[in-house]
Order: sequence, then structure tokens, then C-alpha cells
Amino acid sequence: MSEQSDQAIVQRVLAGDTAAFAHLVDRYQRIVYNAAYRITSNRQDAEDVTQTVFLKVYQNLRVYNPKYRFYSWMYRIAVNEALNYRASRLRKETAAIEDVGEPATRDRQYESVELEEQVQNAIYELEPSDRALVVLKHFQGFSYDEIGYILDLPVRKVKSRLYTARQRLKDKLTQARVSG
Amino acid sequence: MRDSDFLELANRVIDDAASDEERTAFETALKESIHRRLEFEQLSTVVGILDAVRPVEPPEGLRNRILAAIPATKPAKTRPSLSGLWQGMIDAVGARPKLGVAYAVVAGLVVGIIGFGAIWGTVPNDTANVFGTMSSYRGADEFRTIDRARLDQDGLRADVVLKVSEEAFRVELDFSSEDATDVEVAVIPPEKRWSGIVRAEGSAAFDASIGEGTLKLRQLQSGNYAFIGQRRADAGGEVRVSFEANNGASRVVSLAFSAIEQ
Repeated sequence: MSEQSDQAIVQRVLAGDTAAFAHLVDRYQRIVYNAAYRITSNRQDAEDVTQTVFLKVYQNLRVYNPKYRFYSWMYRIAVNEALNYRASRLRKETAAIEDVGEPATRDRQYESVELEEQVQNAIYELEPSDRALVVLKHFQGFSYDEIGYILDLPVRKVKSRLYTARQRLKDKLTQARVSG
Repeated sequence: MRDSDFLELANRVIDDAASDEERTAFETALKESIHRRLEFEQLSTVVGILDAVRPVEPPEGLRNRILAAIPATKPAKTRPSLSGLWQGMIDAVGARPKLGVAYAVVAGLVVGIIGFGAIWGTVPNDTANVFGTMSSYRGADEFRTIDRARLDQDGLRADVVLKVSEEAFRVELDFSSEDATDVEVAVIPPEKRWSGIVRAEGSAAFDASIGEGTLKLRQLQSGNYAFIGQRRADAGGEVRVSFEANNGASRVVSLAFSAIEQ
């Protein structure tokens, strides 16, 4: 479905056809959920984030600027929401004197393949902003320009940080494979 | 070739973004070093693994839950309800009444703003977006409005209210813009008696970072926000809110006050 179609749907919603918003949910709930899951590393958190993202997209639809791809704009909200959500949760866990040294709420049931679990663990150990970079590049297939827009970073910085993040992932995964 | 250059070139090769010349130089570097060959193989493997990770499926019923939360009315630039929405903030931020302190209200210094006007309440209608921490403050009704400003130009519209209590200050921002806008809230001067802004809340998602005496919010969307910081009772100063929209519009609002302990 073309980007123009997204914008046509946005216009319909803004004109009062609120039911049309369901088309955007159908189109993007899976990828928003995936991005949220890869950043929060928790299925329940990812579900909460996904619901919140769509609500905020709806609430802010009138300020959406069509010069940007709707997809990128929505992703910008999604990444911010996922990062904020995770940070907020960590604060609550800290306040409750829970063990946050290890990701206590992580969903350990999901991954059935050891390698994927190792990958997710390694990604989770990255700095949140670097995690978002890896998710946007490798799991969502965004271009460097789009990632720059979503994360509000110059493309040069996007690349250098992604390269460094990849290097860290390599080190972590190599270490995990050796010790595992 | 330095290691950092090699790393960059390796990533460009992996991304299939290297020129023929770069690729030739890279292959030469690989031939000269077993260590770099191993590095590159490992890096390529990791990127391959990342690209091959399978997507996860959303839980059943998520779509319906999302849609159930969407209002039936069309999205609009609505003014949030004033009732009770500050409660979470109030619980967190209110100041403890202690000594009788009178605040001398100083007229706001306005740089590049159009003028003042009647200000309606600036109240986040959703405090899910929180950045920073602020604890052990109570009694926000002790906050007093001491300065306010309105901005409306080039698609940037903002009402800014500065409130203080004995131990805290609060900047309330009711903001809308046709373009996402970078906003910086700075405490001037960033003296020791200020602890700067330690908490932000908003009705729209935001990305914030706290620096020394400053809070930077990147690509802020329209919404209602509040920024809270700690201060000593005798602290005075200036809170400066800078706006820079993607469309080039740029404005600064300065709010000032002094406090005199009696």
C-alpha cells in the first residue's frame, strides 16, 4: 500500500471518518508491536506501548506533517514511547527495590531458538538509543535518512553509532557463543 | 588503515555502500591481516543474524484493544479539561509550606514574543510521558503563578506559565506547532541554589535530555507539558524557553522572578 494511501486515510479520519483509523491499525500494529518488543524486551510492555502509540497517533493526527512519511512519523512516536516506557518502568522497579540488575520482567517464554534469545539479550544490553538504532535498521529496514529523522540525528551520527552498536553486539554475541 | 577506518569501511561493505575503490582497499586490508578477516567475518555474521531475526506476532485481540481505546470523535486540537488532571503532578511536586515567604513578582522579560494575554490553565491531559524524577514534594497548591507569556507567530503557538513554591518551580507549557519543534528550557543562571529541571511531563510523547541547568526536548509535538525543578527559597532568576521548529521558526520566551525571604 502506498504512502499516499496512508495520507488519504489520515485525511479521512480528520474529516470525521474515524472508523478509517482501523486501516492504519491493521497496517501497522504488527511492526509497531515488533519495534516495541525489541526495545522493551517484554511482551506485555510491548502491548502497552503499542496501544499507547496508536492512541497518541490518533490524538496528534492533526499535527502530522504530510511532508514526512506517515510511517516514519508514527515510528518516531513509537520509538520515543518505547524508550520512555522502559525508562519509566526501570524507575518504578528501582523505587520498589526490585532487582533491575537483570531484566526481571523479561519474557523468557517467547524465544524458543537459542540464537534468537542470545540476539535479543545482546540487543537488550545496548544503550536504549543504540537499541532503537539497531531495531530501526535491521528489524524495520529503515534507511539511514529515515532513522535520522526518527531519532533526530544527523545521518553521519546514525551511521557511526550503528557501526559501534554492531561492534558491541558482535563482541557480546561472540562472548555468549564462547561461554555458552 | 586505522582500526576505526577499517570498522567504518567494513560496515559500508556490509551495507553494500562502498565504492569500487573502497572495496579494493578493504580487500587489501583483509589480506594483510588475519585479525581483520576474523573481525569482518564475525561482524558480517552478526549483521546477517540481525537481518534474519523473525518478527514476533502481536497477541490476539490487540487490534480490538487498540481500537477500543480510540475515541469515537475525530481528532481535534482540543483544550484539555482542567479538572483534576494535575493531581499526579501535585502529589509529586507540591512544596512543603515552611516559613512565610513572600515572592516579589517581577515582570517577565520577553524576548521576541508577541505579547501577553489571558492564560488558560495548562494542564497535561495524560501524564504517561514522564522524564526525570521528582519525589517527596507535596502541597502543589502552594505554587503561585508569577509570570506568564504568550507566543503566536509563524505557526508556533505557546502559552508559558512560571510558577514557584518555596522549594520548587514549575514551567507549564501549552504548545502547538505546525512542525515538530526543538524546545529547550534553561534555568539562568544555573547556580548551585538551583538544581535545575528534574522532571518533565507531557500529554504527547517526547524525547528529553537533562543537561546542566537545561532540559532539551527534541522534536516536540503539540501538547501540554510541565517542567519541574527544585530551588532554594531565596532563589531568583530566569527561566528561558527556546523554540526552534523544523520550518525554521525560532523564538525565545524568558520568564523571570525574584524571591525575597521575610
